Amino acid sequence: MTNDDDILVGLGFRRSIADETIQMKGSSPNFVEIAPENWMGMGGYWRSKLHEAAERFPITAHGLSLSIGSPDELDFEFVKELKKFLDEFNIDIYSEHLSYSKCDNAHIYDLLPIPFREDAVKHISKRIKTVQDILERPLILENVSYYTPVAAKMREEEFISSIVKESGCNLLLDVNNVYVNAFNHDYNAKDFIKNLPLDQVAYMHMAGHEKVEKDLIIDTHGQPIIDPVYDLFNYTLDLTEPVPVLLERDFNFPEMEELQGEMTNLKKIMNQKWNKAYVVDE
Amino acid sequence: MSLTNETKDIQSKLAEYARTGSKKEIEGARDDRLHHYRRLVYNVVKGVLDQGFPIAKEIMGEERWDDLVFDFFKRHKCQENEVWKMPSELVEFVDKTNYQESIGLPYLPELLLFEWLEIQVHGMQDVALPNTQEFGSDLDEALVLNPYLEIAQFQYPVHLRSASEMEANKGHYYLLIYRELDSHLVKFMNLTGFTAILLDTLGQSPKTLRHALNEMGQSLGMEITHEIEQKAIEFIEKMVEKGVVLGVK
Repeated sequence: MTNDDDILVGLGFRRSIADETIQMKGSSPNFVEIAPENWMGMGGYWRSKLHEAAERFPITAHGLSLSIGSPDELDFEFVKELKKFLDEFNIDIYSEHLSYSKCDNAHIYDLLPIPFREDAVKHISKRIKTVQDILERPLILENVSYYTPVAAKMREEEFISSIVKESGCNLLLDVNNVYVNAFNHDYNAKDFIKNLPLDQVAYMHMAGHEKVEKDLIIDTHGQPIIDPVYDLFNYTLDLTEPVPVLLERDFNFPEMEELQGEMTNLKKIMNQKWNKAYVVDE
Repeated sequence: MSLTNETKDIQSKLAEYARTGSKKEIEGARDDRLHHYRRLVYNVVKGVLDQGFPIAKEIMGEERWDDLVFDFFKRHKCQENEVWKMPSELVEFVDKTNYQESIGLPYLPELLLFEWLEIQVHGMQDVALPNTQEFGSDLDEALVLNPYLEIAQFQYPVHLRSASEMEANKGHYYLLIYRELDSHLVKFMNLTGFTAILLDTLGQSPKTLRHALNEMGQSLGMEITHEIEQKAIEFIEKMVEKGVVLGVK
């Protein structure tokens, strides 16, 4: 039976709210998530803040620069440095984006969509295995938001499922990204989720977004989670086993009480759906 | 099965567009949506550089600064995995391309370096510090320097942060940029040519003040007098107060 220990809600550990997060009172996160590239190779003030965070919270990592979908060769030195960093902070959960952010030997510093194609499935699956071997951890890949398909020869959910099956990696299900993509590309979000390899979901993200055009949403992480995304989260939890869930907020930070309120909302839904002990008999 | 050339080519076109703004037809992509990638990528890069170089940005003005950022990301292939280190690549780019000549700001490379050094020293990786004892104002004690420091030589007084002051006062400037151990704050200090070389000599490996002065005397062809030794001791005492010299071994 699921118990309270399995209901884990985390918060993105960002510099703008570092002190508030470390000193948070009341309902505080069960863990914090960092982007390792924002802390790797860095000492001094921010390193000390990261250590303070690590003393209070378990840490998960959500990478930015692995560029698993890149046509370029993997940056092995980077992956080795990453492993050292993950080891130092006892980070077991390391996730990345199913996208690419480096190409033709140039970093782009943002996430570009991969063509949904069979050759990309094989290419990425092979790279996932290599990365997992070096890191000695499972790689958890996130379904990313994207604003245009690129030379697709298969459906997105087929692409994701094929990679998960071929590589054996885990899935970070970003529920907000599913909502964003369903809106932007006019598909049914619930059907999309139903067709994912849900038994491989190891982690989830929830976030806000911004509608910039009448038919386009940008995944900004700068707004509160909206009700339709909560609804989709509710739906998703009926189909999945308990996993840690992260509230992502990257800028436009509100008072901490607002973020705590969002974490409480998530936890309430998770308890209702996943924690059988939470159900009280009449 | 490896990635086909066709898929590689498509990925390359999208990445190039996002990086440079040069648009080529991309199969299956929505033309009305592609520009968002260019916008989002450019905003990330500009945001990082705006934050890293506030003085250069203010002096150059929004338009010239934007042109520089645009040119940099288009012509330079960024190598840093950690985006916080990416500003160092702008410093290299301007230096390598003599960008300052095209816009008539001769002090620009040094100003950018000055601003980058603040970021670099602030983020220098932590190292284990040796146990030290108090400096006894003795020439024969092996000095231990704060490991978080840089000594830079400039032709322009970039630390004055004023365009008119920089242009009007070309000369020789030596600057110490260091991080305080407890507060982690980055501090700046003007040095003379002599004290800059002395600190640099001491920083190369732990050595006594006498050893460092003798090295300097040999390399500069100067006699190290008793007066110079006393001045050097006074300087080190001041550096101990500031936390630049941690003590003696």
